[in-house]
Amino acid sequence: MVTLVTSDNEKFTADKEVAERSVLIKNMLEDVGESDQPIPLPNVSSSVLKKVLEYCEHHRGEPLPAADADTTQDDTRKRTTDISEWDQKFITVDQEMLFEIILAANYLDIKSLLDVGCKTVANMIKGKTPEEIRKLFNIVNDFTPEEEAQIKKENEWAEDR
Amino acid sequence: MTSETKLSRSESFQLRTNVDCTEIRKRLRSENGPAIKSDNEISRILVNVEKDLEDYEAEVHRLQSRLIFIRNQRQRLQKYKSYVSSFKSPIRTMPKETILLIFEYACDMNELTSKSLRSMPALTVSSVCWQWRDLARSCPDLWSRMSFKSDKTHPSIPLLNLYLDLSHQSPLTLEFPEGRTEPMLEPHHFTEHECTRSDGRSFTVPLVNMHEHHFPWQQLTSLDIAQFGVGMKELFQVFAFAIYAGSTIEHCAPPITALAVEKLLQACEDVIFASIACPSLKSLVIEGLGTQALQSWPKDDLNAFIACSSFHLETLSINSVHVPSGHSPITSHLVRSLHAFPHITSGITSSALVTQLQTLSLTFTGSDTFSDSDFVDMVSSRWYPDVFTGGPSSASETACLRSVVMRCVQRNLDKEIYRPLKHLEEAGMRVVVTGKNSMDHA
Repeated sequence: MVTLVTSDNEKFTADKEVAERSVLIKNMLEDVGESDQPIPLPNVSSSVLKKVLEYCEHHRGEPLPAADADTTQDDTRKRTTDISEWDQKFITVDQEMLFEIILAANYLDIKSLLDVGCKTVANMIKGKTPEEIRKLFNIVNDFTPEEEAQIKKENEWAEDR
Repeated sequence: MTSETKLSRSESFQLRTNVDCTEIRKRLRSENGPAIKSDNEISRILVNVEKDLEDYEAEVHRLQSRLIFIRNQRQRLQKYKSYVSSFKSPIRTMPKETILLIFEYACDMNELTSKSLRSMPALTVSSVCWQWRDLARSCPDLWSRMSFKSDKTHPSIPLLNLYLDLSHQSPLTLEFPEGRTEPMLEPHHFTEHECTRSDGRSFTVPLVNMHEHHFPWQQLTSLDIAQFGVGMKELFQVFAFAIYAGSTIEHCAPPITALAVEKLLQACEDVIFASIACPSLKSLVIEGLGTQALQSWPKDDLNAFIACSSFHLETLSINSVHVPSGHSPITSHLVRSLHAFPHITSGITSSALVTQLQTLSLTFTGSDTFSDSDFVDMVSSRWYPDVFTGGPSSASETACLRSVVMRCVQRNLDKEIYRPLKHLEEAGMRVVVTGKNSMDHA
């Protein structure tokens, strides 16, 4: 078993096999060797780690992606945003939690979880206009008048600009 | 406390009349026939009452104009709040690499024949905010996946060029509809080839050889395009470097910057707006020549020109431009872009342009294309009463609009919608608004 300590000082215990779905934790455990010292995770809160461990538990035993599998040829081609039914249900959370899970997956280096989070956000973006995207994510239009004129020119052919 | 003293504390004028209704009612009941007191006294009271009523009327306008100003300040503050609260948006916490990964998934394919931004995610995400634009344009992969599903429409040539340019050396993924035999990209190749030959034939040798630096751009302080002949138009065309895409001309070179031009009187020729930028411009007057209607109006070029040249613009006048119905230069976009601060109307975000504008004169010959309430909102947003009352200068980034003239030749105007401008007029702004039904503040 592995003990993990969150940013709000809460302790979680998890099977080594489950915790090691995080490349960060796996490397840390390899570095410290056989030890029952708790592993501090200062960038992950307890509510987020709970979700992350739920994901890792569900996907326990599945093959991990190879370390050098990213940024290779398949990444430059068309990507699918399909998400399995369980993952979809798992990632149906409010926006704040969604982005915290993505941040945690990035920090803990859990590629499959990072992909699920990014695909979910990508699906939220797809099929929307810039204004709808701004509204969805509370982003303000910070373009200068010159930039906006340029964008308007680029988009002038569009019927839904 | 008498009504007089009550008022004198809160109003900016001294009430002349002692408004004592009990006393006057007593007199009404007792003074009849010969008992009526001096006619002179009654006349004097009535004169004072008239003067007091006028003062009250002026006070109402002053307070209404103040109210308009305060409401606009509140709206500005709300906008500021939306900027500040955007910092707390969860997506802002994402590192650039993660945002790029999201873009990679979102931009799996761009349907270039759809005429819909929703089907071109690379273009869409690059139009959201500056950071997303910067990121999206720095990632060639996003622009390298194109599909041409429609077997009837060709993609817009500038759009295809944009995707090809931004995809850089990234391997392209192109999807064509099944069974389509006509080569989709040949027309693109053809028009590019054609454009070179067209340009070569279009201009006479002296103009082609005239280099930009041979023209004294830096010495110009005023441009009156109405006085230039055909040669000058060709000169601008040379510098504008047009490419031919089908039957339309698209100006693609960056405009010449004429730093010293402060005044531009523009006859209705379209080339100038696409060809030059005048960052020192203080006065832009656009007028039609004669009564012959133009085929169309270069509204996008004008909007782009104003965007590049509006930093010091104090006077904007568009009058007597005869264009077919639906092609008016006074568009919803123009009206919104003159608003004093960025705002969202009908889902469209506009940025503040022409911050120094003090005089606005427009003649509108169409019947729709812009909203009256947008126009009133825009004028109200530029109202800063401190300028007239001698109070402390406003913290606003825009100058106070001092004169507005709007003549709608073929359109009836709703007095209720334009009522706020009456208050501004009474408070010091010059306001002239006329419609087909002849409403006039002057």
